[in-house]
Amino acid sequence: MLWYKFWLESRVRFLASGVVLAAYCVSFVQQARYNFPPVMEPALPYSGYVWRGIYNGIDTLVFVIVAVMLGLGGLQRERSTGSAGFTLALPTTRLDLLMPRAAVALVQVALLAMIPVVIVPWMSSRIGHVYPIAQSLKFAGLFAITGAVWVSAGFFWSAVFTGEHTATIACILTPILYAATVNGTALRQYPSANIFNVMSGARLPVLDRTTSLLVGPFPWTTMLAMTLVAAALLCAAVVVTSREDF
Amino acid sequence: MADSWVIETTALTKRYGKFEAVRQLDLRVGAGRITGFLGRNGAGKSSTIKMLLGMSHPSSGTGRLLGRPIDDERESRESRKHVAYVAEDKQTYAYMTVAQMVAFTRSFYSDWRPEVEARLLRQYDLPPGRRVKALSKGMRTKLALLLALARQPELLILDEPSEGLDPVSIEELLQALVAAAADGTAVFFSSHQIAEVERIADHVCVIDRGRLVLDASLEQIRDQHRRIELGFASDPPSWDWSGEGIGSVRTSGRQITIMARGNADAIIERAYGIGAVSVESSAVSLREVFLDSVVTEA
Repeated sequence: MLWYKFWLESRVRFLASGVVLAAYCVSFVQQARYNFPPVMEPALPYSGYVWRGIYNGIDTLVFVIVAVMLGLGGLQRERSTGSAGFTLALPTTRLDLLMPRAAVALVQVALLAMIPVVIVPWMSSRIGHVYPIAQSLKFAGLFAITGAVWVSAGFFWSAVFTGEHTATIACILTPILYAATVNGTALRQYPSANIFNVMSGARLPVLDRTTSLLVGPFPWTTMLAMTLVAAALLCAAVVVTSREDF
Repeated sequence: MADSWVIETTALTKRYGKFEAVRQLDLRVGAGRITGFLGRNGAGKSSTIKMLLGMSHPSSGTGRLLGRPIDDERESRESRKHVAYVAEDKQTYAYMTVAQMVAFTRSFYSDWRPEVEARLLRQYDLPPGRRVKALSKGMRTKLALLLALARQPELLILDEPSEGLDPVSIEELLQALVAAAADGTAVFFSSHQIAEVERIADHVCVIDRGRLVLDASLEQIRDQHRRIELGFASDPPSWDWSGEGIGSVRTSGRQITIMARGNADAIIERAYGIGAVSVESSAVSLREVFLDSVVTEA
């Protein structure tokens, strides 16, 4: 039943996020009727148009904010709403409470990552273009795993901050500050350290610069590194929560 | 005297920075009886309960809940399977309906009683389809009580259970607590309503500034605590009244009022020895005993 509780807690955020992302994808592909090819770049392939708008555009930023917000909630939030006492009196350990919540958020972010897979190839074919579903699946994989890092960041902040809105503010600021750090410091020399590059494939050897399609083997090493970062953030949240007094 | 303890703490202490919320608390709550846990605001009642249930970690000292250590998370989880708890704020999940809340809670416990659940839903007039956030404060309190009372736990812990209830509901609650105790459940409840405690409790623990200042059965309190009023023909002699069994001492003109916590006969004898011309010993209410305990200790 804890799964059910965490689903009920997060379903509004999840469904609203799904609607926003789906609406953006539909709207962007529909605009290709009028905007593609761009006047300034008549040679741009359709795959490049999609990449710029969906996998390296506003959709990416929306996805990141959505993912980090899906990690919010938990006992600190319940403390501010007054239900932490009820939850902690249940015959469960704090780990029992954290793991299903993390799992629900990770599944949700993976499902959100699949939205372009469903919409982009199908909508493209309706307007007379082709976008390979295999490409959408590869980008969905990148989004899902990098999304797990953002979910874990939200999860961590929601374990650290006790204020009702503090964790939310931290979640919004995190991607912004992170982007400023990796783009404005020496870290710029390491494209793989920039999670936005990993999401879009930009500046990674797997992305064909001409077609903006992912070619070559899937970047498993980078994905493993992302998974470890997500796991580390989740473990940190577990440690913080286990030591907390409610 | 109870044969076994459902709650047992030894030198249990909780510090928040430099502030000691609970100090060296040695508390024992017996099985099968109703124990009232009294104290002023901030006396340490909720801090104690939170440590017992594993919500906060003791700074030092030890405690056992149903025989299991409170500072071991897995042991604490096992003991909580047999403990029902109603928190001070009575909040449950605002986004669930009453029916969802009941189904959710029921799934955790093997001692759930569906017939009691159905009876309490009717008695409390709780609409199953309504979301918790749409319930009034009183209804939320009733829902929290239902989730605890629909079970048959070994121990029922309630933090200010009657707060927010109307007089009829308070009466029903008190009867439910007595019935739970009759079924073998130990009841441990904190309250500011001394009259409620006096009505149903077998045993009373008073905590003040984190320390236990009274731990006695209601019978012992009635037998041992007396108000002794001494009258003198002239100004009373100065006398050191401090000693075993003497609580507060108040002098007003030619009269001295002593709250005795035992040894009433010895105090009366001493009073005659220093020239008291009239001595009157009378029973005291729990309210007076409580005030005497916390004021004297302050």
